[in-house]
Amino acid sequence: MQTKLIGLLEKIDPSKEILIEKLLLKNWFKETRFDIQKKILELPNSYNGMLKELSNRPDYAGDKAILRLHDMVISQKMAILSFEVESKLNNEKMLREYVSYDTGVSLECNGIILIEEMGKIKYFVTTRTVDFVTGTLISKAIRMHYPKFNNPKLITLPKKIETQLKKMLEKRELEITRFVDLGEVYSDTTLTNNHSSTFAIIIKGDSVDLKNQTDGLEVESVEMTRSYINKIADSYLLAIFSKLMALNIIEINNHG
Amino acid sequence: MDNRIICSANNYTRAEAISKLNSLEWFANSKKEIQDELVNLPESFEGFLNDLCDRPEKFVDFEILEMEDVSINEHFAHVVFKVKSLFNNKIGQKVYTGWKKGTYHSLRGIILLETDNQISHFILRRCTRFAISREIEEAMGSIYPPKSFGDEQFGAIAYVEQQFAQQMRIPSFNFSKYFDLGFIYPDPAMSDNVVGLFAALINDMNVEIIKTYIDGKRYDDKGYSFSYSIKPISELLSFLADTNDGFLLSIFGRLQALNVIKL
Repeated sequence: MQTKLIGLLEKIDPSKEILIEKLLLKNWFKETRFDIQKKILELPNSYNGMLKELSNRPDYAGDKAILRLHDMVISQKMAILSFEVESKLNNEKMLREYVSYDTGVSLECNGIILIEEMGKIKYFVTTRTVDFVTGTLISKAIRMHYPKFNNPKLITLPKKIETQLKKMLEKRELEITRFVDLGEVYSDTTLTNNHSSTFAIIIKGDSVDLKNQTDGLEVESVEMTRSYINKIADSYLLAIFSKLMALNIIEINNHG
Repeated sequence: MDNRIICSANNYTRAEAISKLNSLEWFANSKKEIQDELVNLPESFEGFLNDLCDRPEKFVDFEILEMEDVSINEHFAHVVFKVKSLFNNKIGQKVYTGWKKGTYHSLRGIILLETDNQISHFILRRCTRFAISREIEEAMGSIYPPKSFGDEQFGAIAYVEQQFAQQMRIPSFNFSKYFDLGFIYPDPAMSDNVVGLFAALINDMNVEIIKTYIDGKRYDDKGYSFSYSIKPISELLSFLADTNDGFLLSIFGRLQALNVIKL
């Protein structure tokens, strides 16, 4: 190992030691230029998730062997990683890039809340927010850290959403009848390694008052599902509706 | 397909873009090295630069104060803005990654096979994606249309037919119907990227003919390896429950909403 690298390793934050040990065993890391190795070893601790993803990344992606990390651009929350790879089909060398969150993949999950009356799904709840990145007002799935479900209480529903739902349903406590894990969804594999767990939470609500809606939440009757799907653009939300229809939890063929 | 945006139009020349940037307050507030970085972006980043010129300085509850950082590599530009909340005047940072070609630059789609006037099969691509280091069944594409098709509605469809035929090594495609499924934001928390979705019907080929073109074939000419598969529509329900490609799920969601596919 290069002397310069050994010098750097002596200064590594203890929280990173195991991740760095694994990384040092990777051939592509050994073949990476020192200045890039240094950038990786000196990543802030907020990037430990990405570091973990890197240290667990196989040396091959299908028929592409990873030769070395060619470049890395980092900012406050994201990094663009550019690898030099070699095709095992024709030995052609090329660059492959992707964008990663500092956490590796987003720690937030995307979901929807369904409100049932007399055992039938009557409404769905999403969010409507100003999105800086796209510069639009956009309807989105509800984002939260993975919901911990302890029957019948959902522990980690964001406070703001919980308060609004209680007000709308005129309830002191929310009664959750079902939690549906809709699996992981890859947002755009040409751009990023990011993926999100998706879910639906079904809650009981016998007296929904749509007038009690507050800013940020969007509540629609399931009868509006068809037109809603045609107007929304958040791919996570579209994926959630697609899964809910496939699982027969929401039916649109009976609605206009 | 109507005459709406197919891909970012690059309305401004470099000189016009620089002049436009100079009129923006956030640009004037940004450090000299950031300004220099922007006006000297490589030519291939014209789409990104055009989008930046048109980004509103104030939007509902945000005001952009300055650009704090910009970094680029082969395909992407990564920006960090200093912003002020117009609700509570709090200062914060907003970060995103944009494609060098701009916000609107690609289309993803799917081909549906019609037999006896009924949709009988759907065609997918199986692809090894470097970003996730695994194989995934996904929507076909990406197709990168030229900047403009003028006013000809069918120019864009013919282009897609030709691109699909080329990607699948099928001599030609003749879509009997083309569904423009609108746009999606694939990952609006990370990127301003917008992708156009579509589905196309074909009825002048049968499954056996298509299989002769795709069975056992694997290609590597797009920088990643891929193959195609054709599945009966009877498998769609279980496929949708299992698949995790956001594009495919969005396409099938829209197709159901348009009543093209009934589960």
